[in-house]
Amino acid sequence: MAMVWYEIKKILLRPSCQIALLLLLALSSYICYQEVYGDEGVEWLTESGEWLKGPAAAREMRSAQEEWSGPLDQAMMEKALEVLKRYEEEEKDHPEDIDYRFQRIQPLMDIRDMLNLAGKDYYEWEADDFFIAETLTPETLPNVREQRIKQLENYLYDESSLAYSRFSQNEKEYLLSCYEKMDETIQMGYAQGWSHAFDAGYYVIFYGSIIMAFLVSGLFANESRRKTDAVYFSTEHGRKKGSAAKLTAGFLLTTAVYWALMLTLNGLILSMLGFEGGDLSILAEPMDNWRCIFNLTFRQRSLLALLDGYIIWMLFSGVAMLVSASTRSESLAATVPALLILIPNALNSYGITQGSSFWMNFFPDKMVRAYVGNSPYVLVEIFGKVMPMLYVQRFLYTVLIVVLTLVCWQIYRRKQVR
Amino acid sequence: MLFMELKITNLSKDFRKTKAVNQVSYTFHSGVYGLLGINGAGKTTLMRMLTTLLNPTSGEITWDGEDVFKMDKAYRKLLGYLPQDFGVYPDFSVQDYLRYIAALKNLTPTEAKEKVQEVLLLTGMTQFKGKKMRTLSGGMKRRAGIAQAVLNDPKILVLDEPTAGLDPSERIRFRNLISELAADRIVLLSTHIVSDVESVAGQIILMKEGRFVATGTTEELIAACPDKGWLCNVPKDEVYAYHQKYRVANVKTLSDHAQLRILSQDAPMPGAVPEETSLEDVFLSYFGERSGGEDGNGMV
Repeated sequence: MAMVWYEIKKILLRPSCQIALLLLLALSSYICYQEVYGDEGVEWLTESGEWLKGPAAAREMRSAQEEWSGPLDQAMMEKALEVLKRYEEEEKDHPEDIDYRFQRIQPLMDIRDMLNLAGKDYYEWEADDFFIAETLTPETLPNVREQRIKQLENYLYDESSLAYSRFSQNEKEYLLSCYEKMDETIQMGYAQGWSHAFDAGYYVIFYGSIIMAFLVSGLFANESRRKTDAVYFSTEHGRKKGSAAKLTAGFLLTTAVYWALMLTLNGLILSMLGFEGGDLSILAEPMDNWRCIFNLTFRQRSLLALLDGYIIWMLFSGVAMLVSASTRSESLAATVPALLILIPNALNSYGITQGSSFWMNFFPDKMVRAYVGNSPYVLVEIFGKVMPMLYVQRFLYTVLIVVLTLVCWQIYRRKQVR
Repeated sequence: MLFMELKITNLSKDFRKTKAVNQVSYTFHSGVYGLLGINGAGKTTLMRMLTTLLNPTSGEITWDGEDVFKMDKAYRKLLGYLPQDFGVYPDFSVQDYLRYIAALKNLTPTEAKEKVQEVLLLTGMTQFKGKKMRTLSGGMKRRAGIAQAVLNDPKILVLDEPTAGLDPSERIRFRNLISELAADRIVLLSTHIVSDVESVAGQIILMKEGRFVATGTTEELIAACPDKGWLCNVPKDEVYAYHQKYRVANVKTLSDHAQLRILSQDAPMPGAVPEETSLEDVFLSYFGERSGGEDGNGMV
């Protein structure tokens, strides 16, 4: 353990690593602030016309939503419809108050979104109709579960749809089966804490993995750059246990930083915005998750995203250490993981490769985004069994981390010093 | 069963077309060995093979009859090494650095604590133990280098140019330290500074172009040297001509003439006074004009 401790010390004592850690902390703080108080945060418009943000807004929202919490059955939908229609009418009598209707329907916005989304038969990734709810009647109120399945069927089997040729029959059946697993009746309620903690985690996982790779990039390369490798390799344990200690230190530091950061981040956001709603289905926030194929509660999604993020950080640290050990270049070791996540993400963001390249789906950016809102369906068929790419990535990346570690150890312990 | 025998047999190391070490054989027993040669002679490459940092192209190195590369960590357990380019971890204190190396050398934390104090005392570094390595002078770093090399009481202590870049007082201190450490172990001291070797090494190996060109004690090397030293007084304007014709070990300019120390088998001129041959003469005799090293003419 002494060797591991000194390897960690080597990283933590470096000024550049201290700056990187501070940067990670600053970035996480900024993301946390944005998710609570910023543009991405919780907002609430009071009766007096004041916009509240952060915990104050969350308190108001939580209190107001209590009335609209519970199963989204016919009675709840009829009640919501009545309120929506009432304020649509009343709005006409208050032309001077542009927020009149919004201020009053704030507590049932998620139910309104649900009606908007379920109240149509077509399926589109963009351009949803935000005023369908008010056009419904108690007789035409949709069955949310059935409508969701119907929309997907239309999307998958409409010959003019992109999905018609993109997905195989097995994949189409799999997607439909995911939708069919949805509960008959969705429980609605306040879950802003979980929702915002998840969103914040996404950014920290994404950008933090690059910073973490930088932190461990010098572990092997610096021995050569500083010419300390001659003494290091001439010692009894330098080639075996010493190299293993470097890897252990890299992964241990990654683990410590990741969990400390993510648990603090989640804890902070949840304590500010509330722990309620962890057991609700993520569909209770329909605007973001209507098309999601994962039948998860907010708490389950957060836990799985945390585990996936951990796998990604470990993978990136592993890649950085392997490049560091094999090339003896710290800058290359820091750059390769960054490129691995930034380039595919940029290509996808600009629509250059989206859906066109099967192999692009294996890159880590897809895993980071797997639970994010209405991400495109990325499926893979193995021996006739269809599953989300996420499951394959989880398995592959875990195996890859083990392989990278062994390869790195083998490469480094055989290094020669000229 | 042999005891403390480090043996190299037909050892070679090629770097592309260059033969850095070329078919050398030698047996080391307890004592101080001076490996003397100009820069580029292959000393560092040989030492890196002896410390298992480099694999030989051919030949073998054995410790008490066993291949050192097969012995792996059992052999490295016996090693202490101070490389020529001794790098440090700049953000570590001297004590941290030594404890880290102690851990790599398989010392328990308790042993390490005790041993670190001991080597700090030995190298006169006790009062600097809390200093960051980046703030140490060249001489201090070398002392820390020696300290790490002896942490594990090595049976084989390999010191590559340990006095390079040190001022005369540090150099003397180092030589004394090496003498103290020499008991009951093999100390291999590589240098291109003749006086370092002359003062501490029992056996001297002259290395040139990857080969051992002469080995023996100082006396044996002097006796075997084909040239002798001659003191000659020559007119100043003839100094260049003598340089062209003979190996000139020293030039002393006096008011009306120059006094040359010339290496030659026979008297280079009438009136030349024979002088006792030194190890410097031997060095110059083997390495000639190329013996000028970074520390000046390969001599102190």
